[in-house]
Amino acid sequence: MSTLVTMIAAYNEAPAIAQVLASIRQLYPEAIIVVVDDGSTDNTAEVCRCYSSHVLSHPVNCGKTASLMTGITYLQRQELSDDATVVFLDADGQHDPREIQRFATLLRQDRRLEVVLGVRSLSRQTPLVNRWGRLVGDLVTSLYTGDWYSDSQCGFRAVRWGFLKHLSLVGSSYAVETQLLYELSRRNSHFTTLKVSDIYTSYSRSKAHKQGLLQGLRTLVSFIH
Amino acid sequence: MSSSLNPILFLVGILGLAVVLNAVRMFIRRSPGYTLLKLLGHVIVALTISLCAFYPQIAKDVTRILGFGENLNTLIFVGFITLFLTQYAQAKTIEKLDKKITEIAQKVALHRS
Repeated sequence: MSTLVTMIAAYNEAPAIAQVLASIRQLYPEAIIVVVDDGSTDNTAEVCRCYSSHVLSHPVNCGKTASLMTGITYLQRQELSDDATVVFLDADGQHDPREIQRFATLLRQDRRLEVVLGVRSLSRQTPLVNRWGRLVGDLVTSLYTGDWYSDSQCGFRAVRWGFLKHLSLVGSSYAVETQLLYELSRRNSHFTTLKVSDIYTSYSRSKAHKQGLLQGLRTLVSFIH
Repeated sequence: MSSSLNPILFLVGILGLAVVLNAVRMFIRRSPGYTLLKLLGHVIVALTISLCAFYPQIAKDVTRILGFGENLNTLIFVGFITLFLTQYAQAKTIEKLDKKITEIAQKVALHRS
């Protein structure tokens, strides 16, 4: 069975990340859990170290793109096989760790696949601002990549290491989701989508919106620039 | 030069030329911190002031060439352009610094791991 790596970028997620990491550790004991603490001012890093020995800490907040690039650079030093599966998920509990297995299974069953993209189901729970944010994000992504991707900003996705190791992410904001899709389109790589749960807890709702309308517009500006 | 040059304007023009001469002198003597860029900045500003002082008509001529009706519009337009260019230069500098900070933070994180 190929190596399973989970990668999480976290910024001040101490209240939620422990549960996420505990679930991953319980469900996938052999998985390599890489957490990039992006300059958190709370004890996120300390909490993560209880569950993983692969915790990297930025001294200052640099953004999700830079965090994931740090994680990818770290993995390049681990000598993974090209078949290894790297699953990205959020630190705030919005993604269900039990669904990681479904991503890994898809990649294992079809060797041609390079990427499995999570697509969150819209439910009554989904806040209106998030619905609009998704639409803006999808429009921006389609302009940038030339292809249409549903729920382009969903951070729950799995990538084969052979594809990911050549990726070079630039910028520092949330543009990482779109950059990955751009590479997917540019290389004309095989991918598939997977419906995943969209979990909204009181904690995640209380945070400032990560992928709201304004963030979508900021992502657009960052691409133009 | 206008035959009916205002004495004050004449004085301003002379002061402008004096600034130019002083700037060139400082550059030739390699005064500490006085770079070519500073010299160019001082010379351009001072020469422009002198030119406008000796040839007050020049503002009207420039306005006419650019198609503006009033000198004030020209000034406002030039002011906006200057502000825009300044903002753009600052934004580029901030972007470079942000990129460098990010690179350093990533290196620190990888080094500590």
